[in-house]
Amino acid sequence: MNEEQASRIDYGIVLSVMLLAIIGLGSLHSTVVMQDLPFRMTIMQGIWYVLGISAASLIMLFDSEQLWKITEYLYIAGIVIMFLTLFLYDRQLEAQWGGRSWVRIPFINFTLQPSEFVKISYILMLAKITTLHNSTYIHRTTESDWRLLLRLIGYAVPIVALNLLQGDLGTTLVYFAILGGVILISGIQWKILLPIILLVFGLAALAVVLVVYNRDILKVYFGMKDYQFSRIDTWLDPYHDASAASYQLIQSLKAIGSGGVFGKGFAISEVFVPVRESDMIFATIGENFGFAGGSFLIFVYFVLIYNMIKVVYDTKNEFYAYIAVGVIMMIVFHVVENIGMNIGLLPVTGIPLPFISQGGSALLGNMMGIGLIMSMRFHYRSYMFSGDGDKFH
Amino acid sequence: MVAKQNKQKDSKSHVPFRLNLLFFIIFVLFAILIIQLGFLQIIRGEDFKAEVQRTESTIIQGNVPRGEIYDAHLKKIVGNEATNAIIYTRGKNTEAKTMATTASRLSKIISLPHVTELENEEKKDLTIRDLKDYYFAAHQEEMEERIENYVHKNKINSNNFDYEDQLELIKESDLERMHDEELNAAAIYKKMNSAYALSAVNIKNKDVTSEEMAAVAENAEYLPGVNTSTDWERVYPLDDMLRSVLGTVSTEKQGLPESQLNAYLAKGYSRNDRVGTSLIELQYEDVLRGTKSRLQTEVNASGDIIKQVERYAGEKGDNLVLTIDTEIQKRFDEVALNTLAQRQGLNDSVYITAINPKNGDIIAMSGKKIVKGEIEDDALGVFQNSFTMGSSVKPATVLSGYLDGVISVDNNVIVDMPLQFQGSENISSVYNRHGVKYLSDIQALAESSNVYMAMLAMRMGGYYDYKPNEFLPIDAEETIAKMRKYNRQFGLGSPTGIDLPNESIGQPGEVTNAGQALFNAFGQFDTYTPLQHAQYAATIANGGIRYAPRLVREIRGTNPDTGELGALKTKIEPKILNEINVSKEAFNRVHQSMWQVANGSLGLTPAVFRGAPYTFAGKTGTAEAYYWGENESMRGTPVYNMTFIGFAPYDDPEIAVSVVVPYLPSGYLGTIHVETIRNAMDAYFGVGRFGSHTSSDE
Repeated sequence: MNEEQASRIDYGIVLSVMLLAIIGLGSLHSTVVMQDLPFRMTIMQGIWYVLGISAASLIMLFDSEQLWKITEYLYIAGIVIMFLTLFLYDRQLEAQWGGRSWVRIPFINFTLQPSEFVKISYILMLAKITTLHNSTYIHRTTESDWRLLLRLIGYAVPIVALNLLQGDLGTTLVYFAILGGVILISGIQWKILLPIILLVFGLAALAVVLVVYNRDILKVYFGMKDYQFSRIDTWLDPYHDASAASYQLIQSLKAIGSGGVFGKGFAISEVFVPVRESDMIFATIGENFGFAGGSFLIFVYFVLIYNMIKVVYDTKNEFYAYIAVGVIMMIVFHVVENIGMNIGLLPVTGIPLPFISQGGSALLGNMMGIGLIMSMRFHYRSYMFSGDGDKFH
Repeated sequence: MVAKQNKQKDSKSHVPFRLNLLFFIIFVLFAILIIQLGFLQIIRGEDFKAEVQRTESTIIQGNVPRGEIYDAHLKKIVGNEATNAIIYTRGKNTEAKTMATTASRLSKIISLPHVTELENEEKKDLTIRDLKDYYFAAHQEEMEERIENYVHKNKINSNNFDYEDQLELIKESDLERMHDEELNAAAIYKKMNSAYALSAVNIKNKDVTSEEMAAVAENAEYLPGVNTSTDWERVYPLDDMLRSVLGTVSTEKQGLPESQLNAYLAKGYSRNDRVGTSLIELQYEDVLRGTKSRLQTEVNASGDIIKQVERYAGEKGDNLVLTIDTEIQKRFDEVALNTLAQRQGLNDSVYITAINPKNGDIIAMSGKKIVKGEIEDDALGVFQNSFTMGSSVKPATVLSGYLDGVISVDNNVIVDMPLQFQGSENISSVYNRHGVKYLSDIQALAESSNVYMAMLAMRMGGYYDYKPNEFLPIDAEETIAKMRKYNRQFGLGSPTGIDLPNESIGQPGEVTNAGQALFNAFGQFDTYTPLQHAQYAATIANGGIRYAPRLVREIRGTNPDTGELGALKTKIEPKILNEINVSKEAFNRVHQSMWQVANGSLGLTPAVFRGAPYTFAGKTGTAEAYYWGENESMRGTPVYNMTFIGFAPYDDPEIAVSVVVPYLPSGYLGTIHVETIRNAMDAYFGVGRFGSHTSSDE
């Protein structure tokens, strides 16, 4: 019984997350020491880990049926919260960072970013729609696939729109990534997917070209702001741009590059990197522990993703599969975009490194995602005998 | 069944395949990240390391002592006293917090005397604001917390809550809790904070003990930017002699004068450099400033100073050798004080100015003035105050007559009789109120005939044929303009060209009627400065060459071995401004008349110079004027200005003197001006009561 109980906990995931938590707290504290930040920051992050792990454990207790039932409510609640945020956002942080996505909890004086939790209900909703659709239309046709695609987009639009209204491009992109992941796995035929993928990448390339050669079109027809272009400028040529964002990127590149193969050691820094504690925390890891540390971290993420995918194979539950893909896409997008921007591969966007960056909301959101995945194996028993072999339920 | 299963398989099998595809994509993405990471850290790692460790090397300029000032006999008038100093050079991006830490460490080894506003409002040198600045920098974390709390509590946009507002969060009780060492640190911090990036500032330059110097040197490693150095302070070995013309040097705190900030910065000055702000120190700033030392300074990537190496020791400013003979100056000062001691009426000052007529060198310029009952040096007044000079300008009037051609060596006799006009004041000579006298130019000057001078003015206005009770038929403006043009050739009413800034050129009277031309002819209209008066005396003395009076004769370097006055660098040549186109004979006649004033028995002046071991020639002046001094309530009171110009020795003049004793009581009949000039001449030649001084001093 004990063994059985034990096997219900996915230790691969637990171990990866624990490792990430240790690396996270360590690098945050290192940053605190290096950049003269208040020690309170490390303590607070520790508290958030505890809260996050509690949230994950709590969510783990929900089985798929329960999740299935509450999905719509969560989705609607998510939209309501996001909508309210548009009115209740914290003016001070808005002035500071230019986003309307934070809400200040009265009395305890915490700021939360609801869009980080709403991701979870969004993932659940997309997963449920897809599962429902696929069980209704067992025989795929082009028409049914289009229908699924439009439904998925239909459900995604309100939440994405609310994100855009909050002025948070980074988080909006995460929502797109989740949508993309679910669409890919949903089984929509390639003849529909491929052109769409090509179209999306084509448009993205066109956008970059326009930013470089003719940004007036984007300003006039798409209402884009100058600061949004500056991200692209910085990304393409950080050394020829005098903006604060370039400074951030150049400092980050210097910090990471000078870390070399094995780094300079814990809490030893020669380069000042702005907002190192949150979006630029990878600079700390790169500088303190070098290539060895940085690639180990990426490896740990990879192991985490592997374990999550493994759960999908092991549990063979379609609803879970889509949830898992959503969570995976969420984490992968964060990891790739964050590390990518730290090392100059991708434009700088305000996106934290999962489990590592300072910030409670993101950590809580990610932990809830982990909770969902953990619940899959935890409740796997219920399906143990109901399926055979390769079949997904 | 098989078909169905197949179908089922077909419909469901998309998940594993696509999941694998997704996994593969993720693998590729992560691989790209690792490749880029490897590129940055392994392939380009060394480049980045080099870039981070690259230090920036900047040249910082250090201060050098200012040049000193010597008198004509190379006696020091203004010197420098070297003092130990603890200096601070601020890095490029040095943060307040870092400075506060350094200040706090430094406060344990040096003590900087201070008086806080809390202790004494009047004598404070550390204001509440200064204390708050330090408190903020030293307790940054605590302050951040306070600010955050306050901003939340009051729902303020933190962007609108600036530093000034933030300082308000520091309560007086916080400051009262600061103990002595912290207050000391606050005083140090204030000095450090006044430094501009990459420039040095004195933290302490007074009473630095050798223990403090040693402690700072030993702990230099923990005190980034702090160094030991030497500073200088202006000292005046001859006390307040000539202090009013030597000028002032700004303090480090005052730095460059705001009005000329950009001009100075363009010349390579730093904002806190000490510069001459007035008179000689200002005029010769370029000579006195010296060449700054150059310190190669290594700044690391975060902008802190790591190392400083001296590349060029700098050169002390060059020294000025003045034309002033301090011994004569001292005696003149004595004479002036003596004169002032006998003052009457509103007389509150006296000016004695001596110029070498051969080159314009100012031998001595003594001005003494009583301000609020205290005697002050007012050598400045010699070229900044102006007075109606009276008859002492008559030689200029006569020579103007020669210049204008209204008299000549052969034809210069004019009838002296009381003049009466319609619409203008009557004029008569003091010694001849009623009669009719024929006067040559020599007699006219020797007897100081007002009428003769008035007649010259009338002639210059084209009116030769005087008839009593006529309207004066001359053009007032034109005539006065003509007279002024001639007077300016002597220095009267024109810039003298002295090598000092802000010279006054006297006050031309406002022309309203023709009679004024006549009064101007005997010095009762325009006003002149004592320096103009002296330049005029010198121009008369040397026969018509107007030299620009000068205070600085030579620029000399510093002997590198002894630190004493060094080799001659520049000899400043005398400057001739103009020459007066009058025959030598005419000048001789004027000289003769002036000899008679001083040595003859004519005129009203007793033969004061009879029996002097040198031959003096001169001309007195008594101006009926109106008081225009410091005492505002008395302004406009009628007064007499007693003046005297002269030169000696008669045959080959080497000194020309002007004495001005202004604001004596109207109707004054005394001879204070005569006594003063005799004393001044005796002082110069070292005779009479100055005879013994010379031997004892040398």
